[in-house]
Amino acid sequence: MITPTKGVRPERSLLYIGGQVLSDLDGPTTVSGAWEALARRRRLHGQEATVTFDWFVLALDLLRALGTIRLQDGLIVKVGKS
Amino acid sequence: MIHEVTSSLPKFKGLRFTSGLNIVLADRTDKSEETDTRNGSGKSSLVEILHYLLGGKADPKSVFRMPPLDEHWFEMTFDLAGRRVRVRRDGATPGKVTIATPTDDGEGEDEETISNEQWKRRLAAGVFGLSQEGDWAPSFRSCISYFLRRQSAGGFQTPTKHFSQQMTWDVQVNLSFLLGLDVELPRAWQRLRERERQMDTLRKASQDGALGEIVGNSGELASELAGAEDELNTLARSVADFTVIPAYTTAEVEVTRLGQQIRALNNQMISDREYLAQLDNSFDEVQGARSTGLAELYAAAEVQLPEVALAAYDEVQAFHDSVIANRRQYLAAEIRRITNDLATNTAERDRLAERRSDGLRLLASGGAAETLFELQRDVARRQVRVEQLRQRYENAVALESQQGELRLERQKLAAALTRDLAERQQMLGPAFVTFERLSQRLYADQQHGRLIINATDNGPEITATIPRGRSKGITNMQVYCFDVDLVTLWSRRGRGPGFLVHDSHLFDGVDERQRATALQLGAELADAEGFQYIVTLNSDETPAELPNGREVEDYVLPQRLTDHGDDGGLFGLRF
Repeated sequence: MITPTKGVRPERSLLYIGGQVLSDLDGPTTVSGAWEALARRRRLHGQEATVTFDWFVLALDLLRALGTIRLQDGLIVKVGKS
Repeated sequence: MIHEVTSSLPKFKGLRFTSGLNIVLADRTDKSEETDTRNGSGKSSLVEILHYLLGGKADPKSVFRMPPLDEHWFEMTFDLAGRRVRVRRDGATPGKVTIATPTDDGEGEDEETISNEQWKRRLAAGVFGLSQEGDWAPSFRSCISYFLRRQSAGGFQTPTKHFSQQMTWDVQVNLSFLLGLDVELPRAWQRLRERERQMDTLRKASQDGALGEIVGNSGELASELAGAEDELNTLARSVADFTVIPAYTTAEVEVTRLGQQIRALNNQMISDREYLAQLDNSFDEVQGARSTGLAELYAAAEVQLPEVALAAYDEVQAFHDSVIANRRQYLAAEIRRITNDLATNTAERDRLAERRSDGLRLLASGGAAETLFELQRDVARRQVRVEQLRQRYENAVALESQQGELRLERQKLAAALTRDLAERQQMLGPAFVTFERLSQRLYADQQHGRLIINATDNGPEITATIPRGRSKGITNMQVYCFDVDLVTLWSRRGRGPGFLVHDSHLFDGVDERQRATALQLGAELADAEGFQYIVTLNSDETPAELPNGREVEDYVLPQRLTDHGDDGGLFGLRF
């Protein structure tokens, strides 16, 4: 589910989705903001594979588990490399 | 009869007349024919002086009021109602005449100065026994003019007119009186003509009205009037019910603006509802988000990302819960906001709609002041039209009924005149006979002349004609016969002026034989009937003797006039 497998298409893999979320994460964003940005991006790229909200949350969970993002005052922020 | 005519002019040729035929003779010289002046010998002036002394008009242009005559008086002695009267008039006081009558004891004279108007009334009563006054009544001045015809007024053109412009009524009334017919009938005709004239004025007024339309018949107008009145009433009622909205234009703009706002709000609410439905969906989605997925993620990570150090499971679990809570809070807040917005907008829209329908009701119930003025102007226009129609209708009714009445009146008068003439046939006999005899004596070789009185629908029509034969001057002799007939008629009645004056112009163009006969006839009748016949003649046109052998000279006045020299004429001077 994290990486594409035989049963998981690449654009539905959590890592792929997480990458897309990160791409839009220029500054602190609300959960809904990130969710809508992802939906916009996927619509734009014509990616039909449905991403449900809980799948999106899992993608965020993965990014958090990897230490890439965190919540700061309820807003999602990127964690700096330093 | 006239006894004497004199003047204060020093060289005036005072004339003394006798009874019967009097010829005032003027010697005409060859020289004079080239320089014939108006007062050459004064033959026609004699007639003017007689008119002047018998109440004639003396307007400022009259010769009697201009130099050199204005400083002098003229005087005449004549018989008025059986008494000898001396009348004097001068150019300085043309409105007055001085009358001298013998005192009752016959020894002296009573002299008085009266106005010319009074003098005319006295003459009317004394000469013709006239007492009637008022509109269209016979008058002394008109009656006497048949005995004193003036060439200058066109008095010799036709027997029945003593001046060429004489009105029909004047002829009818005065000749009816002189011939002894009922004077009231021609007067009634004239009153009728006056009414007809008024009716013509009325008809013209209808035609020249503001609408410039030809007056219709009363039937058409009645129908048109009813229609116009009904339209006017309807309009007047709506004006009476009209409510003026002071700021009509503002209200109209407000209603339009409210309409736009309401539409905008409705659009907003539709998109809000769609959004709310979306939010509700998303909220359901968040509620159903599985929390079990995280454990699977960690399990998968151990397999797929073995070399990565993952954050503690508990930390990520807390993150996971926070994200979901955030999302839920956000959606809930959005739902609340949109729901609120919807409620506010709905209330706002309802409020605006209420205001708008108030405005619409207002606009529907009335209008702007300008609209009212426009309506009022329309009402005023229609009122004028209705008034005009009513006037025309009334005129039409008046015209139609009067036309009938007047036609009927004319027929009635004509019938009354026919009856009257029939009843007076015997009385009129002598006048007819005299005229016929005179014409017969003058023109023995022709058909006899006739005095004819016809009852026409325009009143009595009096004609005195002698059929036109070979002879010249027939018209003049018609006048002659008519005048002699009239003076004879009045002499027999013992009234009238007792004289007839014929100016020499009457005999212009008349054959010499007829001229001589006319003089003889005049002399015979004057003697037989007791009137005075005064004729002015030029010596070169006067026959030496009459058909019966009498010398003309026997009738000529001793005082002769001449156009030779400055003092040869009647006035004794030239001016």
